[in-house]
Parts: sequence; C-alpha cells; structure tokens
Amino acid sequence: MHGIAWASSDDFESALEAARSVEKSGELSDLAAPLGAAVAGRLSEAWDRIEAALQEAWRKGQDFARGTAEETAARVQEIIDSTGDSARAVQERLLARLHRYLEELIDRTIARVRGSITVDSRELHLNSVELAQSVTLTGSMKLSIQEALALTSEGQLEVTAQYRSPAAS
Amino acid sequence: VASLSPIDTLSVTDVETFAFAAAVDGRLSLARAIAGIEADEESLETAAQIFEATAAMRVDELAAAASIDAELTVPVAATLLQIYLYRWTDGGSDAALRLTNILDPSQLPASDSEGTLLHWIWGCAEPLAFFSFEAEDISGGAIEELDASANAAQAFRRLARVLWSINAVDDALACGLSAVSLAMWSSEAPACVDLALELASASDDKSVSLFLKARQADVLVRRCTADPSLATAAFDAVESVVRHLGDLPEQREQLLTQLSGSLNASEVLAGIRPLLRAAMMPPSDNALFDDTVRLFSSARWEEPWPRLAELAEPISVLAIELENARRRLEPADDAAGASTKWATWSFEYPPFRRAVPHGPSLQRETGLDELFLTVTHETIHVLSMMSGLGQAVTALRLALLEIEFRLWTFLGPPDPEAFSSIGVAPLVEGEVTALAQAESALEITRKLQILQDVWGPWLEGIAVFGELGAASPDDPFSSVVTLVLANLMEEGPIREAAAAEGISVGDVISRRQTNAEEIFAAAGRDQGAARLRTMLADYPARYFAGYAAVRAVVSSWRATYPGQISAQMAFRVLLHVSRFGVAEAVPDLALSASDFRRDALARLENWVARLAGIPAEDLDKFSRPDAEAGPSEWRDGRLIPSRQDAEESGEETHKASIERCVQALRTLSGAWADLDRVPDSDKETRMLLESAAEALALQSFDLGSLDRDPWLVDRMPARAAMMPIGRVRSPFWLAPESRRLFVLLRTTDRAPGQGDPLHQMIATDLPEEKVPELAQEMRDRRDSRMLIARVANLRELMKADDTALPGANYLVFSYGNWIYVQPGGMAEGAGRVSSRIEESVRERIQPDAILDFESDLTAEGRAGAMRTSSWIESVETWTAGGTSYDAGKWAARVGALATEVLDRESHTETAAAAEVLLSAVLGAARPADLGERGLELLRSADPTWIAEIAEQLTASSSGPVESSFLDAHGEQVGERIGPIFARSESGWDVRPIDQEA
Repeated sequence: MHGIAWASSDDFESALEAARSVEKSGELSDLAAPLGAAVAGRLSEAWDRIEAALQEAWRKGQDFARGTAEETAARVQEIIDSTGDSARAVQERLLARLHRYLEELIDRTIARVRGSITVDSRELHLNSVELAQSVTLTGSMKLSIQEALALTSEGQLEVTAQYRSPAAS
Repeated sequence: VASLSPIDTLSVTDVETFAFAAAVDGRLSLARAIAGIEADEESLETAAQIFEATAAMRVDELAAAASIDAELTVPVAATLLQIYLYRWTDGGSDAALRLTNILDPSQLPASDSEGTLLHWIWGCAEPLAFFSFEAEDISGGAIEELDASANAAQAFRRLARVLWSINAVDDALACGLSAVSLAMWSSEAPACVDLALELASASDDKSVSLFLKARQADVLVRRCTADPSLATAAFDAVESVVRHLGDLPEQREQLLTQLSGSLNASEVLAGIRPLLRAAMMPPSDNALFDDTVRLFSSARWEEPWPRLAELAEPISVLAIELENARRRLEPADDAAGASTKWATWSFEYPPFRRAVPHGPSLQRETGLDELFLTVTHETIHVLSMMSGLGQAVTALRLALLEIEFRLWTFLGPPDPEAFSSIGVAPLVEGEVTALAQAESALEITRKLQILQDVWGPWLEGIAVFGELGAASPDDPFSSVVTLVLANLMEEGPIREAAAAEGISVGDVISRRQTNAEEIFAAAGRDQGAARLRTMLADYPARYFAGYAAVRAVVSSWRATYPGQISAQMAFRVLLHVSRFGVAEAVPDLALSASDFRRDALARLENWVARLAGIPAEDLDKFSRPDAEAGPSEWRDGRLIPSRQDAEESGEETHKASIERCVQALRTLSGAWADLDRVPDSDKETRMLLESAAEALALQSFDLGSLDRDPWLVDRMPARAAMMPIGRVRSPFWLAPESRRLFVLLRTTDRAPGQGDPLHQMIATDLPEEKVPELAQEMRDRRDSRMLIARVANLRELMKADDTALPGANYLVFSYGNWIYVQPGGMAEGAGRVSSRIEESVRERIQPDAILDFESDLTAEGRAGAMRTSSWIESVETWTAGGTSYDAGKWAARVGALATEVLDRESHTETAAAAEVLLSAVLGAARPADLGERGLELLRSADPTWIAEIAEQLTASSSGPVESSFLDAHGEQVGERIGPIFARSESGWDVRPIDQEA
C-alpha cells in the first residue's frame, strides 16, 4: 500500500532534542571552567542557526526551505571556519547532530504507519515499510542542511507499507 | 640487620627455601623489635617461671601466671613471646598463637609507649605463625599458595611504621625488609617496598635501596599484566633500576638479565625494552653512539661539559622515544574542565596535569587563547580562596581534623597504616560519647559544604567576568591575574634583553606585560562571547545567576559613579571585595547546619545589596592600582584601611583564625546545641542530647596547649599563594662535575590520538651545595624521575626582589626531600630565589605529613561521613561507661545526616544561592526556572538569540553599548529571561540592582 506518514509537532521537537543531545557537555566539579568552551559555543551557535532554519521550515513549508538553505549553509560554514584548527571536528559534530535529527524524525514518522489494517473484515498486520523517497546523508554540510530542511518542510514521508494476514506469516 | 637481601627474592627458584627463609627473617625482626622493650632481671625471671609453669601444668599463660602468683606485665609478656620465637619450631609457633590470642597487651600495666609497641608486635605473631605453617607445607607448590603472605606483610609493615615513629630506625628497617620478603608477589608487595625504601634512606648501606628498587620493579612487572593501572609505576621502577645499576657493578649483569626475563613475559611494558637493550649493548667502534647509549641508560653523567653538550641532543632523541612509550601507558584524562579545589587550594588544568609549559613552548600551543582565559578563570578562583571565606573554610576543616584526632584516642593505639591511608578514626562499637563527636563532625562537614555551595555562584560570576575584564593593554594597571599569564612565557632574561636593546629593565617588563595583555584581550575578543554562551546556556545552574549578579552590581556602580567604570576597574573592586569583604557574610560557625544555611543565604543577600551600594569615593580608589589605596578591607559596604604593619596584621589574622576554629568546635555544644533536632525525641533521647552538649562544651581547643601545630591554621590556606600551574614527573640525569641537572621536560601534552606530546631537554645549572644533596637523595631513593612543577606566586605584598614579584613564576625541581626553585617567566635568569620563597614553594610542593593528611583525607569530610554511616548501621546496643542507653532515635538522626552529607545530588544550597542572586537582580519578575535553564529559555523564541545575547553581554561588560538587536527584541528577550537588560542614555547594559526594593 502506498501512502503518506505525517510527522507531528512532538516528533519534530523530539528530533531536535535528540540532535542537541549528541555529545552533550561533560559534568564539571568544584569551581570550574569547561574545556573547549569557545569551540563548544560556536558549535552550538551553528546548530542554533540550523535549528532556527528547521523551525522556520517546519512552520512555513517548502518554499521557505528552498530559499533559506543556501543562506543557512553559508552562515553555518562561516561559523565552522571561525573555529580554526577545530573546524573539521566541529563540522563532523554538526553532521552527527543533523544525522541524528533525521534519523529520529524518520523513525518517529514511520512509527505512525498503522500496525494493522482491516480489509473486508480481515485484519492484516504490517509486514514491511519502504520509504518511497530517498534521504541522502552525506559528509557535505550544505547538502545535509538542504536535505534536512526539505524533509522538515514537507512534514511527511511517502511510504510503501506491506501488510499480510497473520496466517500467511 | 639479619634480613634477607631483596636481591635474593629476585631469583626464587625454590619456593620452599625462600618461604622458610622469609619466615625465619620475620622471627629475627620481631625478636629485634621485642628487644626494644626494656626487661629487667625480675621480668626475665618471671617470664621463665610462667613459661615453665605453662609447660608443666599444660595450661595457658594466664592460668600459669595466676597459679604461681606472678604478675603479667608488658616486659614479662614480651619476654614470653621472645622465648616462643626462639623455640619456634619446637612448639613455639603454637604457643605464640595462643599467647597473642588470650592476652591483650594494652590491658597490661606498663608505660604507654611500651604497651603500644607490644600491641603491634603482638599483631605480627599470628600472621607470622600462619605463614610459617603454610611455608612448611608448600613443598613443590607455588608462591601464590601462601595465603598468609599478605597479612603477614601488612602486620610487619605496621610494626615498621610504629618503630620508625619512636626512632628505632634500624629495627624499623629490619621489619620493613621482612615485610618485603613476606609479601612475596602479593598485592601488599609494592607498598612494603615503598616503605622499606623510605626506611632504607637512613641506612649507610646504599645498595639496600637499589636492591629494593629492583624488587619493586620485579613485583610491579609481574603484577601489571593483570592490573594495567600499575603499568606506569612498573615502567618507572624498571627505568630507575636500569639507570642506577652503575652503583652495583658486580650484580649489574645478573639484575639486567633477570629484569629482561620478566619484561619479555610482559607485552604491556614492551616500550621499556629499548632501555634495557641500551644498558646491555656491547661497545661498538663508534664512540658517539656508545657514549649516547651509555649515558641514556645511566642516572649520573661523569663526562665533562663540552662532551655532554655534544651528547645531550642524541640522548634526548632516545629519551623522547622512551617517554612517548610511557605516555601511551598513562590513563586517559577525561575531565570536562579545569577545576579549582578547596581541598588542595589549587587548580588543575587538564593539559597541564602531565606537562609543564617552559621556554617558548607556550607560544607554540595551539589553544593559547583558551589557555589564557581558563588559567585566568581558575587563578581568580584561587585568589578568591585567599579571603575571609578561605579563613572560615580553614576553621571548619581544622575543627574536623581536631575531632578526628580526638576520635583516634577512643580506641587504643592508633593503627599507623589506617591513620595514614584512611585518616578518619575507627569508632568504638556502640559508644555513645563517640556518637556525639561523630555527629558534631557531620554538622561541621555540612556547614563546610553549605558555605562552599552558597558562595559557588558568586565566585563563578566574578571568574567569568574576570575572563574578559581582568586586564587590558589600555588599562595602566596590571592585575596579578595577568601578571601570572605574562610570567608563563619565557622570552629570555629581562636584564640581558634590556642591555641588548639599550632600554631599561622596567621597559622590558612593561613591554612583556603589554604583550601578554594583548594576547589576553585578543583571546577575550575572539572567544569571549562563544565561551559565555557555553557557560550560560550549557551550564546555567553553575554560571548564570552569579554572572548576572556580578553584572548587575557593576551596572549599579556605573549608575552612580561620576566617571567611566571600565571592566578592569570593576574587576579590581569585585576581586578586592570578594577577598577582603566577605568575612562579615559568613555566619557564626557554631550554628547548627540548618540555621547556618538560613543565615548564610540571608547574609549573601544583604552582602550583594550592600555591594551594589558602594559609594563612588570608595570605588574611586580602584581607578588606581590597589597598592595606592594601601592595605584595606570592607565593613558594612565601606572600604576601611587595615593595619599597615604586616607583622601585626598577620598576628591579628592568626588570632581571628583561631577564634573561628574555636567557634566551629562549639558546634552542638552547650547552648549551641538544638535539643529538638531529633525527630520524635523522647525523654531519654533528650537526656542524652543534653549530656552530649554538656560534654562537648567541656572540651577546650587551644593549639598552643594541645600537642598540635599552632601555625597549621595559617599554613593551610597559605598554600594557595603558591599556585601550581602544571606538573609532570620527568626523567632526569645529574652531571655532578659540571653541576648540571638535565631534565626531559614534557612541555605540551596531547590527548590520545592527537599525536605525541612535545618535550624539551633542559640543562639547569645547580648551586654548588645542591649537587651533593641531590646525589645523596638519589642514592636513597633510586628514582629515575623527579617532579617538575611550575608555580606562580600570588602574594601581592612580596616585592622584595625580581624573583618575588606578584605573579612571578618558578620552575620547581622536586625529588624526595630535595628541592630547587628556579626563577621563571620575567625573572628568568635572575639568580636564586630567596630562602623564604623556597620554603613557601616547598610547603606547596613537598607539604609536610599533616598538610597532606588534611587535604587528602579529612578536608571534605566524606570519609568521616562514610565511616559514621556504616558504624551506626552496625551498632545494636549503645553504651557509655558500661550502661546501656536507648540512643536509637539519636543514632538514626546522625545516620540521616551522614547520608545527607554524602548525597551531594540532594543539596540545594547552590540553587538557593542562585535564587537569592537572581532575586537581587530581577526581583519577582523572573521565570521560575531561570537559574536552572539560563539562556536556554530563549530557544523557544528563536535559537539564534542565545548566541546573540551572549554577544550583547560580552560587548557591554566594558560599559553600555548600542544594540540594534536589543532595540528590536529587548522586550521579547525580557519576556523569556526576565528584564535583565536596561537601556540608559549611554546604551544597553545589564539592569542595575534596585536597592530600594
């Protein structure tokens, strides 16, 4: 069966939360100063830019997403570049967050596909789900941002779900 | 000394013979110790009679003594045991077991010291007997089957410590060596060797120390495969033996072969094998190669200087390889931050935990900006500890120490092992009087925690503010904080630089200081906002309230001061008032913990309000350097001059500190005791509480009259003034002829996977008398590494010479009791430091036993809380003077208090203090979770505002600024995090504190 699975606001918020929790800051003790605080601050700033764009895309839809992807990616790249020797690590950590965001959003959205349907009074159980659209996770910051914005702005996933009767399994 | 030579233990081929020999050796050492107890003719006669009666009547010694009407005294009991040691294999071991089980020497009439000694001798007899039984049956077995080995070794080690403490040094060494032999390869072996090495330092036979080191290496190599945490210790021990083997030419080959055999079985230590290969390498026809290899594997270099200069570089190449291999064995450091600890009065910065910046190494650091800002942050914390707050913390800690000393007297002779390793005293089972002392200690510990937690947010606030505002090249006055930074870099001796450039020494200092301040200011510009974002959004509970309060106080000053208050001037006032104006904000230390908490929070609230109202005339004194205002302190929000005379001032501080200790020891005593503190208290419980309060009130505290160090109260916090920045244990070589000390210094550490650390071979010219002193210490200790530390002087008043300027850095070389302090930073090449400086540095780097004991074991009170908690759980009946009491409810309250002390997660003082500070800044107009979530509250409006607000806060720290962002969004920001910003004619800044409110 070909259909659409919709992401809810909760799914979106949970995906953002999951992304932010990738490599959370370590615990401090006594009177302290965190190590790498400037790099961590810039990483967060870059993520906040992405998150702000994702929020806008969620609210405003595909046209906004297309228009803002370029600008967001450029600003994020600027922030990454400002971290000097740490730029590569920052980029990797941002990509990890983006990937975590997409994973969580997709997982939660797919989880909305009904586990069973009734056809002609026969109950069929979900056997498999296939994404009808491709989601590209690459090492490119720009492409990853575009992908995340595109998926977020749609707020839905095209899926093909296969059901079969319990007897068949 | 009839002990086994430790070298014999390296070649054990016959376990049976070795175990037998170790048992005989133990008996001989025990007999030596007993000989230290004086026994007159009459005692000898009595002991012989009891021995004969015991044998004839087939009864135990107590019955035998009673039957012949003989008195069992300490000398008599000691002589009996001596007889059994002599007749050990003829029933003596069984008799010794019986005797030591039926008789408690502490109950016998004798002088205290002899009774105590016999108590510890007694403790050796039983494990020695069991060891002997096992040794007899070991035929064909493995050493590991000697289960009694560890207990016997531990008992002899204890006895060795006791003998050492009464200056019976030779007997102590004999027992120490017996402990080593008895330990075999058990887990006790490394500690036994450590002690024996200390004892052997007093021995004239210097080969003993080297044999012991070889034994240590052998044990550690064998154990480190199963326990990788021993790998670096094993590496160091092998390295030490190899480098000192030149002192044992006859046994050199044998020891090298044995070590090599052990090492071949251990893959963990493969990295040290090149050193052994170098030591065993036959001469070639290449002199440079031969000399390099030979010197690389020797601790002492006898070659003349020109040759050493030639060889130093090739040797360093080999040494760096070896050092990198050792680095790979060191455990990973996963600390998330730098931290300043009250317990040690110093900070730890992870990159300098195993490295010491030196020479131009700092300029090569990739993270110099962060290093400057972090070191500044932590230096501000250390300076804040040198304050009225530090005085109160010292008093509470000294009170804790005093209670532990008192508790140690409850239970007979203190166990020297437990005393030095656990610190807190064991408690007598069910003893009600100990319950009173233990409860008092817990209350004091809670007050210590409360005081540190309540002040945490404020102290973090000024440290965060100081990161950006401590100094600026535009400000004419240097801060001690940035003087520390300027002295971190060595750019050559200032006098030489001045002569070479034809300028004054002052100009060179000023230029270097400006250079450091420029780096610091640039770091702040580049990283300030991003760091602030991390602190206020990722760690809001720690930083947000304190920083907001500091900024609001500064804004309040800006609102009333006629001129401009720069960040630097504001920081000068903030640091000064946080050091010399907090004493009045500390509650009476005798209060109960709950009252103390309430009072501490109320005083913080009043203190911040008064701070915001500091009049312009007092602020004005900080527009110039502190020194011009003279020594001063704060009372009721006003700056007043303190005593000008340093000696009188020191005496006054000493008296005030002692008074604080006395105050802390009044906890739960007399009128200070809350008799309603036990829930559902009944008549008997109340009676017990009253008695406890009366008993505690009877105790006096007088450092002068007690057998205590009267200056501990000053020495403890004074350690803060010599602030260690980095430390590392480095390999070294002594060249006595040329009076040079060569050290391979790790100047930059690297996290695993980020490449090898950086090293530098440094050659230091030692003063003449330091050379033989170090050579002697090397023969005593046989370590191939010494501790190198970089220390900064935070004492602002010591301006005697170039080497004692505030912020001056010293490179410290520390080896056992030997120390050499070399001026560093801007005082590089300035000759020797004064003896006063050397002693202050020694107090920090080589603290005496009591300072170490306090900071390691009792400072935080947690060990005492754990002890009390498990003690209370184990008690079934409470007694005092032989009478039982129903102290169950009281004990339950004490147990609950111990749990509270240990459960740091449950403490709410930091959050409560944050609320006090935020209330001062924002009144009621603040979100309930602002202290907990900080700038994260802006996320729901727009995530990018978080960084934006961090930018605005950074920009306005030097004064109000124009902000198009705040013009546009100020109101919405206020809706999320409260009206923290206010606009004046000059621009946007943090809202001043509303003093009327």
